[in-house]
Amino acid sequence: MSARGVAAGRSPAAQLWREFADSKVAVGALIVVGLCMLAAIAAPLITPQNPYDQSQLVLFDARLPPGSVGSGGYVHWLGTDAAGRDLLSAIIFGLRISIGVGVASGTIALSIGSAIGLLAAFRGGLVEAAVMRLVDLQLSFPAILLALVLAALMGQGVAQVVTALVAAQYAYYARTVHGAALAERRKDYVEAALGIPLSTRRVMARHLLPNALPPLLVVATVQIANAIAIEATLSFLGIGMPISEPSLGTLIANGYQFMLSGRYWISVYPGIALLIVIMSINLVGDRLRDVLNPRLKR
Amino acid sequence: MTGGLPQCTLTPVSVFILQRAATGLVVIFAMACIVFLGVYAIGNPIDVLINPAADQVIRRETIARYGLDRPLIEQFWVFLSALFTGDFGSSFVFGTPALPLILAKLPATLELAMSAMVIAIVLGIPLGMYAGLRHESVAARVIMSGSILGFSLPTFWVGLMLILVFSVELGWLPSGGRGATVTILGIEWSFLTADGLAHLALPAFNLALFKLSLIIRLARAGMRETWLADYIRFARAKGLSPARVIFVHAFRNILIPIVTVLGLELGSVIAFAVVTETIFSWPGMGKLIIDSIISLDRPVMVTYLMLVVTMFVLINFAVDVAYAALDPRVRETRT
Amino acid sequence: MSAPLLMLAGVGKTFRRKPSLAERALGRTTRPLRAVDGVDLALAPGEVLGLVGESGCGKSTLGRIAAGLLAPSEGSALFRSRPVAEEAGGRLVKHTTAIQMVFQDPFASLNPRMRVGEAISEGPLAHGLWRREEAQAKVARVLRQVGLDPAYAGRFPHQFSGGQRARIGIARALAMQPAAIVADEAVAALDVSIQAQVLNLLAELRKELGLALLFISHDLSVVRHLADRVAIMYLGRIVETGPSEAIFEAPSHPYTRGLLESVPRLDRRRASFRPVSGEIPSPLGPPPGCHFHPRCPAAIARCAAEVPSLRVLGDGRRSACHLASV
Repeated sequence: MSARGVAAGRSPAAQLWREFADSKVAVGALIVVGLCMLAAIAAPLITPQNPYDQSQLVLFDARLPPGSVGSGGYVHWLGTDAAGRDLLSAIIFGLRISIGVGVASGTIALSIGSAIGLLAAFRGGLVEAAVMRLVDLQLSFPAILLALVLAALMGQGVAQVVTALVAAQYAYYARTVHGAALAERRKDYVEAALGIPLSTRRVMARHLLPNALPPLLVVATVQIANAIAIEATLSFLGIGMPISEPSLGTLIANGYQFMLSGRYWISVYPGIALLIVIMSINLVGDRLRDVLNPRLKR
Repeated sequence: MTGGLPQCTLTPVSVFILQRAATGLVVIFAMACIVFLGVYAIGNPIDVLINPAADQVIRRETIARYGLDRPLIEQFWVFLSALFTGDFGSSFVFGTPALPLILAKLPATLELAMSAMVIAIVLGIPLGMYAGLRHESVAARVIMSGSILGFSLPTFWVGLMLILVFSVELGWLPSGGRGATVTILGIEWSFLTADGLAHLALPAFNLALFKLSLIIRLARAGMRETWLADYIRFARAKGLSPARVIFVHAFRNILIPIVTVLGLELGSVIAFAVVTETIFSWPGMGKLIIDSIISLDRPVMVTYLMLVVTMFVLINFAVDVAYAALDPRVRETRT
Repeated sequence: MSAPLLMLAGVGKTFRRKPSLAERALGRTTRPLRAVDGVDLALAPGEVLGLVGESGCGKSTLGRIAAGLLAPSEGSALFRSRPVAEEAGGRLVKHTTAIQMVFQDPFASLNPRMRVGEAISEGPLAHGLWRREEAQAKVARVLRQVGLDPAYAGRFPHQFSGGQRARIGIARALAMQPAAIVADEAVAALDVSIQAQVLNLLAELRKELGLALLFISHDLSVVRHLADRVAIMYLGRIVETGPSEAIFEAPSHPYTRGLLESVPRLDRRRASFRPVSGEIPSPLGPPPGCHFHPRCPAAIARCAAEVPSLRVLGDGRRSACHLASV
C-alpha cells in the first residue's frame, strides 16, 4: 500500500478503492459490470418480450433487421432472429444465463479451491505434496479441453455446465491461495502471532486469510470472465446450454448460418454483448492487479 | 566431506531433469487411471468400445478381444498395455482404428498451431517490449487496450467476425478449408503454397490472438519490472547504449516468464484449435474431436485424450529443460 | 541470587532440509545445518543479557528457542523450571506467555491489515488476561507506557514511522505482562537517533517493570549501554560471557578481542584497522575443534583437535579458549 494514507486513518480496503478509482477506465468498467448484472437480474421487467414464451413469438417477424417494427407494435432495436424472437430481449435473457453460470461456477470453484489451498498450506508434509501435485497436474491441462470433455460426457444443462466449469477452474484458486498462504506464513507477523502463542486456527483466519485475499480477488475476476467465455464456447459448439435456456453462445450459434447471407445482426449483437461483459470484467481485474502489485511501487 | 557415503556424480541439472521426467510419467499414468475409471468403471465399457449398432458377432468378438468380461484389474492391465500400442479401438463413425485416424489429422493441426505461435511471438514480444519501455505513450496505451480486447474476445466470435469482414464483405480471403498442399517427408504441408497461405491466414490469426495478447502483456510487465531493477540501472550508468541494455540484459530476463507461459500455452493452443478448426472447417484433430464428441464416438475420444496428455507432458518437459538453460538459479534449486 | 528465569542447558538446534524424491532415489541425504551447538545460558530476573554475534552465528535461532518459537533439537530450554515449548504431535506448543519476543523488522512483524489496537489486545484477550470491556483502556495504558498517543490505537501499521512501529511491537509484547522479553535485533532497522530513543525506552521499562531482557544484537556499542552481562556467540557456540564492562574493557577470547578492535570509535584516531582475518565459514561445514581457530592469531595445534569448553575465569567470566588463563 502506498504511504499516502498516513495522515488520514484509511483502512487498507478504503485505500484500495482510492487507488483503484484513480483509473477512470476501471471505474467505467466496474459500472458496466454493475449495469450488466442489474439487467440480468431484472430481465423479465425490462424486456418488451419474453423470448422463451412460445405464445409471444410470431414467425412472421423472423429475421427482421434492426430498427424495424414487429407485429407486436414495438420497435425491435436489434432486430429479430430466425424464430421471430426480439433480439434485444433474447440478449438480455442470455446475459442472465451467461453471467449467472459464470458467477455461480466462479463462486463454487473459489470456495472449493481456497479450502484446498489453505488446507495444503497449513497441513504441509505429505498431504500438501499430494494435493498440490494433483492441482499442478490439472493446471497443466487447458481448462477448455477439460470442460469440453466433461460437458460432453455429462450432457447439456445448467448443472452440468457449472460442474464442468468448477472442475476445470478450482485448480487456479487452489494454487493461488496455496501460494499466497505459503508466502504469508513465512512472514514475521504470522510468526509473531503464533509466538504469543495464538492458536493455528485463529492465526489462519484472522491473519493469513485477509492478507491472502488480494491475489485471490485478481484471480477471481479473471476466472469469472474466463468461465463466461468457456461457457459461451461450449454452448456455441452445441455442448453447453440447451436450447430451452440459451446463453449468449447459443444465440451466436443460432445466427451463424445467416451470416453469410447478410443477416449479420443475429450473431453479431449477442457477440458484442458477450464481449462487453467479458472485457469489463477483465478491465476491472486488470486494474486490481496493477493496484495490488507491490513490485511496481517504488 | 561426508566420508563413507558413495558420492553420486550427477549434477544438480541432471537431478532436475530426472525429477521432471519422473513427474511427466506420473502425469501420464494418472491420466490413464482417470480415463480408465471414467470410461470402464463408471461408464459401461461395452457401450464405449462397441458401436451400439453393431451386430452380435462383432459384439462377441470385441468383448473377447478387449476382455470386457474380465475382472477390472485385468482390464486395467490391458488398458495400460494399450497405452504402448496405442490401440484403443476403432472409431464408431469411420470403422477404422482410432489412433491412425487422429494421427492423420495431426499435421494440419500442428501447422495451424505453429503458425499461430509464430504470429503471437513475432508480433507480441516487440509490441510488448515497446509498451513496457514507453509505457506512458499513446501507442503503448493503444497496444494495451488492444491486448485486453484480444483476450476478452471469445475465440469463436473473433473467427466469425474475421470471416464476416475478410471473406463476406471484402472477399480477400477464403472462408474455410485448407489450401493446396505440398508433400514433404510424406506429410502434406500447406504453408508452402500461396493458396495454402491464403487459407491459413485467417484461422492462424484467430488462434494467435489470445496468445498474442498474453505475450504482449507479459513482455510489457516483464519489461517494466526489469527496467526498474538495479542491475539495469547499473548497466545504463555504465554508459551502455540503450539498445545493448535492452537486448542483452533485459531481454533474457523477460524471456524466462515468456518461455514458461509459451510452454503451457502451446498445449492450450492445440486445445483452442478445436474451436478455430470448427469455424473455419480446418481438417485437423480439433474438428475431429468435436465431431466425435457430438456423435459420441468414444474410442476416438479416449485415444485423443491420451494422445493430448502425452503431448502436453512432452511439451512441458521441453519447457522445463529450456527453463533450466535460461535461468541459472533453477539449476541450483532444491525443489 | 534468585533462581534464573530462563535456563538454557546444552541447547542445540540442527536444521535439516528434507531431501527431494530425486535425491532420495539417488541415495543422497542433505547436509545438516547446526545453527546452535551446546549452548548454556541463564537469564536472571530483571537482568539484561546482551547476546552478540555476527550474521549467521545462530543468535536469532537461539533467541527463538528462548522465546518458545522453536524447540531445541537437544538440551533443555526452561522458563521458571518448565520447558518453554514442546513438540506435540508434530506441532510446537508454547507453555508460557511470560516470555515474549520483539522482532527486528517492525513493519513485517505487524499484520498490515490489522489496526494496532487490535494487534496489541489480541493476545491478552485470547489468553484471558484482559476482559473485553477493559481492553480499550488497557491498550491506551500500554501505548502510553511506550510513549505513544493512545489515540493511535485505531490506525494501521503503514501509518506509522519506523520508530513508532518498533514501539508498537514492544507494546504488543508488554500487553502480555511478561517477565522477560527477547529482543531480536529490535533496533537494527532504525536510524541511529531513533535507536537511542527506543533503547532508552527499553531501559526505562526494565527499571519500572523489573523486566528481564535478552537483547540480541550484532552492534556492540548498542549492547554496551544497555546490558548488565554479555554473551558473545560465534558459529553456533558461546565463546565468552561476563559482566558487560569487564568484557568491553578487557576481552579474553580472541574473537571478542578481534570484534572490539574492528569497531571504529570516534575517540580514538587510528591510522589503520586490524579486522579479523578471513571470512566466517559456512555453518554447513564448520571447522573441527574450536570453530574460530582458522582465523585466530593465537591458535595452537590443540585448537584444531579439541572443542574448548566455557571455562570459568573468575568474576563471573567465562571463555571458551584453550589459552584462557584463570
